[in-house]
Amino acid sequence: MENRREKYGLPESFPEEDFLRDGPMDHEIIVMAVEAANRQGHSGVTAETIWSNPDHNNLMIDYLKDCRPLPIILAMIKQFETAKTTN
Amino acid sequence: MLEETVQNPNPYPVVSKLEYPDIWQLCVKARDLSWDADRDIDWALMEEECKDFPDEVKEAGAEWWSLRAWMEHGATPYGAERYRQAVYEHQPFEIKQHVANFIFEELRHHEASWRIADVLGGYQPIPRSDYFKMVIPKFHNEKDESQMSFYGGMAVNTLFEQLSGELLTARYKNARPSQIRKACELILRDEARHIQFGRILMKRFFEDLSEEEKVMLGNQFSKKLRGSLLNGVYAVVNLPKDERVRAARARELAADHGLGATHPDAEVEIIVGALREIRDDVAPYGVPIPIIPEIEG
Repeated sequence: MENRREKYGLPESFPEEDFLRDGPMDHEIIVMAVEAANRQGHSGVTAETIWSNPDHNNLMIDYLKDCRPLPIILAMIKQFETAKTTN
Repeated sequence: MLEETVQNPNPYPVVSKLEYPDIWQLCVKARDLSWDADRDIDWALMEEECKDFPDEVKEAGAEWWSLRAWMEHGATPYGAERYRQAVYEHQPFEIKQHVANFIFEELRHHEASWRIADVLGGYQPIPRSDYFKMVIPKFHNEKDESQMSFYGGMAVNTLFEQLSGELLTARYKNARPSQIRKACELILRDEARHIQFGRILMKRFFEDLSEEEKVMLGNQFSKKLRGSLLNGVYAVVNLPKDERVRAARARELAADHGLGATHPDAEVEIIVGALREIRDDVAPYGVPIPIIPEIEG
């Protein structure tokens, strides 16, 4: 997983929500969701396993379905569902 | 004693001559249309109208109106920063008056909101989720503000007021108990004046901006909107599963029972529509708001 603290040269104490969110929204959402999963005790969830591991993939879909259904959210749900069927 | 007081900027010249009569007219209108949450809303009637809602609905309404109260309150630090800036920059009197009115009005909305929450089941002074606690104070970022001129920053903020005005309109239409509806209407009336202020700024100041600043303003608006929506995603994914389910159900109950709330699904259409309208509004001034495919599809 990307180390955004290092990328942006931020101190360890820098709160998560202060991270610059200038990247594409899907990228930012994946980073947030993977970090949230790890914090919630789903260890081993990474930006890679969410596409290949069915449990991790389902967790992402579950998260996204509870978000406001913006076009980007709907598109990501579709991408995760497609990944599930192709694995 | 003087040495112990807060340091003030050099106050001179203390400007009294009006420079912007149209902005002064808004200040006069704010005076004429001033309302008092205590006097103008019939709280006893609201209690009567809401007393038969099931407990679950009342709790959901209290949570929704607490959230509204936090958001209204969240606008006041922004206002305080602008007031300070207006004083330091020796802006005309009517600008300072408008900013002071803005703070006063947001506090009035805050008061009406927490009182509605109290009627429904009890105002919650602190969000129950840690993430809401952290995210709400971050909706306004002074670092972004400092990249823009005083009027440029105010204009970007009022574009946001236009967007939230669209959401507030939908919430006003949703409100069924007459006194909740009345509170929504009074809040909306103030917000309409804030939006009008933005339109005056556009008319007066946008034409004089450099091409570079116009592009920057459009980008700042887009960045702020994306950031605000990402904060929403951040708050949701960080909730434990049972809390996510509970929060979604509460929101649904508040909207279904006409407590002045909106369904997240309905909000997407409103946000996209408002974004397009805002883009059309600023286009004549040459301020380009980039297309945001992640939001607009």
